[in-house]
Amino acid sequence: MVLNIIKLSFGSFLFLFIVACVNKPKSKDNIVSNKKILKDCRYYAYDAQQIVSNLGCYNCHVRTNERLFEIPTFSEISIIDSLKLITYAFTKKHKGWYDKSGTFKKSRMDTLSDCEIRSAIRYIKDYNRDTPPMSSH
Amino acid sequence: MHISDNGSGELTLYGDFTITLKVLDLTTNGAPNLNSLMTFTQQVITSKLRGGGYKSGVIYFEYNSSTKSFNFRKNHTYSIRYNFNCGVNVIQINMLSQLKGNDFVLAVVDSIGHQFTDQYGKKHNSGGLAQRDGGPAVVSYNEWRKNKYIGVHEFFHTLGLGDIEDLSKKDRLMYHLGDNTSYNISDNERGDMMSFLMRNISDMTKGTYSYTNLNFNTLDLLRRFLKDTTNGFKYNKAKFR
Repeated sequence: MVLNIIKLSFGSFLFLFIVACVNKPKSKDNIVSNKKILKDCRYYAYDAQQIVSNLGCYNCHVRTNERLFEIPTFSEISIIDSLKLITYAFTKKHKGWYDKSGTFKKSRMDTLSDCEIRSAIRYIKDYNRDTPPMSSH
Repeated sequence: MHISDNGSGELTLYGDFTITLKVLDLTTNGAPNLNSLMTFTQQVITSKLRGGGYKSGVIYFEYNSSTKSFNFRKNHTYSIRYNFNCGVNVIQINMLSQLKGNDFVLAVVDSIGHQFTDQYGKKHNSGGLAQRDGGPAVVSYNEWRKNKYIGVHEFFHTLGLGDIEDLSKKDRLMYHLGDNTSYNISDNERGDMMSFLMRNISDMTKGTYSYTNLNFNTLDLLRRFLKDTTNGFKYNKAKFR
């Protein structure tokens, strides 16, 4: 009886140990990998502007005070919280057009890396911030 | 202003328009070379905006070429060619009352104290400063004399372009670290400027359209820009009253 209990406990321990060993390194790798991406992600305003420009955000979110129909201006979207902006851009307000199954699923928005998305979001956010003026040497 | 659809996802926008850049001399002792600098600036802006611009993958409303209108319920991905015939006037103004609405302005000052640090950690003095997307541009007269392209560089910030610091792009006009090998503008940048100038493509279907916006107060923006002590502008304040 005691031997059976010991065997059962050992079996359970062995099973949990294997599961833990299989899963733990994988998630650790992901964390390390994500941290590395974020660490390597440097912000270059010009490149970020090119991302935003190439996506064509300005065509509908115009850079004037007056809205194109009821579409928020570029200035208006720049005051949205960063996390909300990501949701806003990819799913909700764009009606899922840029989702994997959306109308524009092949558009460059779906192919952007995490770093490019972060840069684009920062560029949009900077639009309403009191950032230093553009300068020339 | 006209739009032409080739039926294969490419829209060509064409027509004539004129850009006027107003130059305001705020230097203490005057700027004897101002006319030649303005002429040079006008020629360069004209040549850089010539030849159109190009943007691909532009998602916009679907264009109906038979009704010459956009269907605001349907979207379409286009390549857009900007083939405008763009006239450029760079003129000097002497009174602030000559600045109205969303006029483009380039103010000339004695010097600029503002410094910036590039992405490599190196500090630079500023020969010019501008607020992007329609805002005022300011150049130091002495620096402008040393580098005649600064006026164009700053004005292109006004037209929405950003600075380039990538050392492999020293041949670009928007490279701003001072050791340019040339002053080129890419088709994409040209497209960006045209896109900024057009603002809303659908307005082109309204026939004659004026891009004058009297609600935009350039003069007030310039006043605040000059007064901002972080920019370190030195100029004859008596000329700005």
